[in-house]
Amino acid sequence: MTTCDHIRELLPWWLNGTLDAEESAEVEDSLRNCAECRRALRETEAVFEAVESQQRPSSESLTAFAWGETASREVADHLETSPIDREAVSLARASRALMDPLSVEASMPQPPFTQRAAGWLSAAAAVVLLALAAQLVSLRQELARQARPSVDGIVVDVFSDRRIERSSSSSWEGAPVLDPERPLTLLLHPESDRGTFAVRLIEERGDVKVSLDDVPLSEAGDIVLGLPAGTLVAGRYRAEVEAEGSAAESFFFVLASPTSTNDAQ
Amino acid sequence: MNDEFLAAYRRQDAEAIARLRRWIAVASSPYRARLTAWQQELRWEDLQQELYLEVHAVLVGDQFRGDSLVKTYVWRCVNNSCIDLLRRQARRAQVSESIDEDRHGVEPRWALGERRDLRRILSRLPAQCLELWQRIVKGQSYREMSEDLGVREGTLRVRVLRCRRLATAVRDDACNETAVEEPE
Repeated sequence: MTTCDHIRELLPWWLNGTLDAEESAEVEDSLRNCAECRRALRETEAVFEAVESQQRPSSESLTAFAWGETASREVADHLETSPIDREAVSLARASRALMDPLSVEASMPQPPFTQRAAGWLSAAAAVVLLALAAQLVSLRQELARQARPSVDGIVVDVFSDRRIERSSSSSWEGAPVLDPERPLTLLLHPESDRGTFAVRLIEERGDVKVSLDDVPLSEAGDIVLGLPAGTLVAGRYRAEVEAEGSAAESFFFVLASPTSTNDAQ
Repeated sequence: MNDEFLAAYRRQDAEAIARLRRWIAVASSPYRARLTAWQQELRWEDLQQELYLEVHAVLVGDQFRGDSLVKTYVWRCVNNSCIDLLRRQARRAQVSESIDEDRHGVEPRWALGERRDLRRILSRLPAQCLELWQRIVKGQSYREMSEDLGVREGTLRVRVLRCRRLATAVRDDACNETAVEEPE
C-alpha cells in the first residue's frame, strides 16, 4: 500500500479528531506535500458534511427558529451544544431585524427555557402583549416621524447574543461594556440615510481591526455587523461609520470579560 | 405586491433587479464580518452574486409559490445560504489551521448549490455505508468501530474508503445528470 492510500484511509478519522498524535502528524504532513491527498480530503469532507447535515437541524430549521416561527425543542437542545449554530441563530435574528423597520425588539433572542415553559399563562400574556404592541407600534411610528434621537451623530443599539444594550455614548466613559468571548452583533444607526457606508472598528490606539466598504443600510436606516466571538480582544473600541461626502460618525464601546470587570470592582 | 414585483422582475425591469440585489445585500450584511473574518480570500461581491443567482433561479422558476411576500422569501433564502456557509467555514477553519491551506493551494469551497448534491448523495448511499459514516461523524475512532462491528481495523478503513468513493461517484453522476437536464 502506498503512503497516499494509507493517508486516504485515515482522513475520515482525521476529520473527526480521533487519530492519535502520531497519525495526525502523518496525515497533516501528507496534506501539506501531496496534492492528491488534498483532493482526497475534499472528497472525504464532502461526505462527512453530507452525513453531518443529516444529524443536525437544517439551516431552514435554524432560520425558522431564529425568526420565532417554531419553538422546536430539538433545535433548542441542539443549540445548547453547538456554539456555531448559536451564532448562526444570533445572526439570523439580526438579519430578520433588518427586514422590518420595527422588528428589532420583536426579533431579540429568547432563552429556550422560555419557549419550553410556554403554557396557557403565556398565551394569555400574549393577548395582552399584542394589545400593548399595537399601541407601541403606533407610538414608535409617531416617534419615528419626529427627529431621530442622536448624540454626536450616531445612535447605537448593541446586542450581544442574548442581551441588548442601548448606548448613545460619545466617549468611552459610560460606553457599553460587552463580553469579547461572545459573538457580537452591532446595530448602528447613522444619521445619514443615503448610499452605502464604510464601517471601521478601531481599537483605542488607532489600529483598524475590521474594515468594510459598501455596507448597505436597511430600509429602517440600520447597519448590522455580526462578529465572531474572539474577533476583537478585550479593549476599548470605536465604530466609525462614513458615507461618501459625509463626515464620519463614531460610537464607543468597551470589550471586557465579565470576570475582569468583576475583578476591577 | 408579489405579482407586481415578480412580473417586473421577470421582464428584467432594472428597478426590480436593483431592489432584489439590495434586499440580498441588506439581508446578508450581518454575516459579512463573520464570514470574511474567517476566510480572507472570500470576496464579498462574489458571494453576493452567488446569492443573487440562487434567488434568481427560484424567482424565474416555479419554486416560489407565493405563500409569503417575495421579500420575506428572499430574506429566508439568503439566511439559509449564509448559515450553510457559516457552518462549512467552521469546519474549513479547523482544516485550514492544520495544513495552512492558503499556502498549499486548497481552493475555497463554498458553492451554495452543493447542498442539493449532498442530499442526493445521502439518498443513494447504501445503508451499510451510511451507518459507518454516521459513526465517524458521531466521533468514533476506527479502533472503537472495529471493536463494535467485529471487523479488523484495516478492513474497516478500506470499507469506509470504498463508501467514500461510491459517494463521490454518486455525486459526479448527479452533476452529469444536472448538466444533461440543462440544455437551454
